[in-house]
Amino acid sequence: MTTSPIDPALDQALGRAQGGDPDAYGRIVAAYQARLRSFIAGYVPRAAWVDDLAQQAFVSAYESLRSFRVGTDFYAWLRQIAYNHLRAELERTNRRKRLETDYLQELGARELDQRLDRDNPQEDALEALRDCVSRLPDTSRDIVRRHYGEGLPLGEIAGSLGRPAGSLKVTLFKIRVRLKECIEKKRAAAAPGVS
Amino acid sequence: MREELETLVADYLDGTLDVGGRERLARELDRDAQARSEFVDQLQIHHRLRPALEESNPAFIKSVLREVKLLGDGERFSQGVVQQIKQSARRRLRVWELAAAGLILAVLGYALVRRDGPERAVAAHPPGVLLVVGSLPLEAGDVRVKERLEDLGCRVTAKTALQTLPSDAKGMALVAISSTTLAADVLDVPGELTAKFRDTETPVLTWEPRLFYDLGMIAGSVHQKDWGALRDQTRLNVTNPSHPLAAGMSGKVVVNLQPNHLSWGRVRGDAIKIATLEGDPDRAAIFAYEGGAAMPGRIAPARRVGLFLFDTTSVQLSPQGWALFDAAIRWSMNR
Repeated sequence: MTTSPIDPALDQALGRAQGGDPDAYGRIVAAYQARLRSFIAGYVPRAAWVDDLAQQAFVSAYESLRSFRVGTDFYAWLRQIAYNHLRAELERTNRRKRLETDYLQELGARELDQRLDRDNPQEDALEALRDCVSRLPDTSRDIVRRHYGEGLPLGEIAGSLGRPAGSLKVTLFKIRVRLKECIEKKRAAAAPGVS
Repeated sequence: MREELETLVADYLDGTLDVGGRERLARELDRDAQARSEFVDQLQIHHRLRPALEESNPAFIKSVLREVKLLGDGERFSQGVVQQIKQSARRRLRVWELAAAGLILAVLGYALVRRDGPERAVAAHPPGVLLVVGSLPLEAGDVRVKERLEDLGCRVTAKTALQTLPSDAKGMALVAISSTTLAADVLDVPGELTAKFRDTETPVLTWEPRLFYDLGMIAGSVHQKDWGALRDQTRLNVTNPSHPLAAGMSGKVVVNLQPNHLSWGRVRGDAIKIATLEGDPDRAAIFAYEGGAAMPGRIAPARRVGLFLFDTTSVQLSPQGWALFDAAIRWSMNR
């Protein structure tokens, strides 16, 4: 979980991208985008930031690609670049004067900034979350996959289940609580000294 | 977490919480540290689930590649700019001679137009505006811009960046280039749009921040350092209130009714800087050059204006925002 395995095909693509082949870089983006966006998504107060920051990180990485040593852990390097963008964005938001309309966003930014400091940057949140989703009861897993994976609105899913949308929102809230608990358990189990 | 709070958080994450609900949620979270922690737990899982469960995200990959390919295009263009500067130094004497002759003609022309009165002149000959956009039918933001231009008495011809030709600018009072152009065309034809109106002697106004560099209006090409579009903004800081482009405003001005992106460029001292992003005096949100003025990348062949709008900003522009837009249109066309 601490480092990424080296994939020879991706290393070749990295070599070509360093030579100025942007299409080769497309393979790199495809390979790492879910993991990087998942990392960023854990620390942003608004979903709209995720793709913006991930894009900035990938573009910055491309601009500095010549300084990357092929054969070493590209994702760790990329994540550090993303971390720098994320930190700058959170600090900028936290410096802004408090406005009533933005309060929830600012509160989120403040709390998430603290978590970014506190959390283990090596942790792979993506795999842990996917694993926890796979362990959900069938109906819960289906709701989560349709809403987040396929992008279906909750109202549509509620209609297909014959349930009011309001009650499905609360169900989803409870599913998220359960996923959080599952991730915490996995984190505790992976901590040093725990067998 | 209490049931009522759970419902508020669930609605907030679903995007259905109204203003009153947001205020209630803010009050609850403000006084309860445990609730704040659970709220952030929910936020983290909610945001992470989408990237974790999506099968793939080709739009994101395409978007990154577009940026990366344009970086290369920017480097090629910067080499072109060096050539241009060298050539323009040789031609500068001739340019000034032409500019002096143009000034005399402009003064004579202004005197003639003034005799008839500007409103009557506009009504008799509506100024033509070439609106260059990303796609047709127009996207929501471009629809609002077109409607506003028509309200100002302009005759608007909308064309996509791929369709339009440099010759389309001839006979027009203004070329207005929307930020929607980038997404549709620049990826497929790198540099194509950037070159089309670089040298036109028709005034150009654009709110596509990448084009600020390509049109020679800013010195640097680096995204986020030299140009960009900053999200979640509502206000500008008008720093040059006496200029017509300021529309009589000064200081902090609300331009967006809801937080949205604002385009900006890092200009040099030779630009007419009208407004900046709030809290960042180096990022110009409205700036301009007179025709014949030295810009970082070339001599301005006619008036050039960089404007704060972005793709959908005009959908929720405030009255002050529209006043600044109107002023930019009128000044660009010298009306």
